[in-house]
Amino acid sequence: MTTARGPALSDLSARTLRSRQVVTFRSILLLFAAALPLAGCAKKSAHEPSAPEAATRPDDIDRIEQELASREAQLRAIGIARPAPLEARAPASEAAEVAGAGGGGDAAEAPRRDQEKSAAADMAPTQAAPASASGGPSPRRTSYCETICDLSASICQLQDHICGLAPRHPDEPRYQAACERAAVDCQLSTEACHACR
Amino acid sequence: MKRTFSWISLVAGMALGAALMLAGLAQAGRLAPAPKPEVLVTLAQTLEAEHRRVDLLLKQKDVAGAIAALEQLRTIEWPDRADAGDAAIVLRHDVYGRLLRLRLDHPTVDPKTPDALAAVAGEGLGPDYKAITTNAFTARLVGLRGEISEKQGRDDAALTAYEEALDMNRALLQQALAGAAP
Repeated sequence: MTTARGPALSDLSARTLRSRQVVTFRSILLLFAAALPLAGCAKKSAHEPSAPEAATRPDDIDRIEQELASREAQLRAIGIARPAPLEARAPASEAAEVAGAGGGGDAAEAPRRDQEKSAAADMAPTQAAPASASGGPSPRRTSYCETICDLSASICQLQDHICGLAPRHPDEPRYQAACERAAVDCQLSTEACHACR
Repeated sequence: MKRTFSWISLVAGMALGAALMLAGLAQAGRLAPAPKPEVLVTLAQTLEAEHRRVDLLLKQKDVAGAIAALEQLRTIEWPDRADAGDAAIVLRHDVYGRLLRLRLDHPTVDPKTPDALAAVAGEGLGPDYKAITTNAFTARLVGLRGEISEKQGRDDAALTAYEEALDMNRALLQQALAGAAP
């Protein structure tokens, strides 16, 4: 995932590109799903101040919650809404509160949100990722741009496929229209990717 | 008697209100049906290990081994949406997408006919893929189905699949762009 993305997406081989973007999405999804029990532990600890200090370790919990919030935001950015196991396991009153509030809590424990809400908007300001020591883009922005550029790559690959069909069907307007539309999508997404860099 | 009746009315009203709220949230897609989160976690952990194994096999240039490992995953009992929610379906789409990508990129390894690949794509997508939230894995698998349709000589079906995948990716991009960059 550290491959530098140059301005010309076509410079990358299709296979490399496909492999890279899928690994990004897969790692996010698997990490998030595997981290669900951690979220449960973190939630429980945070809500039980009487627990022994050694078992609570607020720093660890904060770190885990921040990581989960980041993963959750990344998942939403690629269209995978967080499943609701925590709400399902929570007491009824708590689940109702969470569902009814529509996201009043912290990002890690927020319920599944509307898809229209952006990943960035869902991030609480207090959980903003710090900029890198070198003053470069933050890891979260890098991830955001990777998402944009990976989606752009997928769109442009589909354009290649669609426009590859068109010459075989010169008399069918559907193929030409689809090709033109895909070309516009590819161009716009490529511009979005470049603007992000 | 009157006091008892009002308590019953109050409790019944609260229960009805709660039920309506939950139904509304579910219909709005804000509650994902995942009554067995442990099933999803176990599945994710299993798949993570298998994906790492496939990574290793591919690093060793053992494409046949990687394909065999992914084929093995086809035989597991995949949980359904009712048990593990949409995420389980998405994870399945990922596995099948990876398998089909390898098969399309390496047609000489354990060769399969386009019809057989189309059957695998259909099996992976399942009957309810359109019901789950748009995501990158499903979009990729739909696009792969387009490639397979092309190999079958079914250009119309291929174009339909490509357009469907394009719509998904466009929606994902718009969704990602809708918010300000971090």
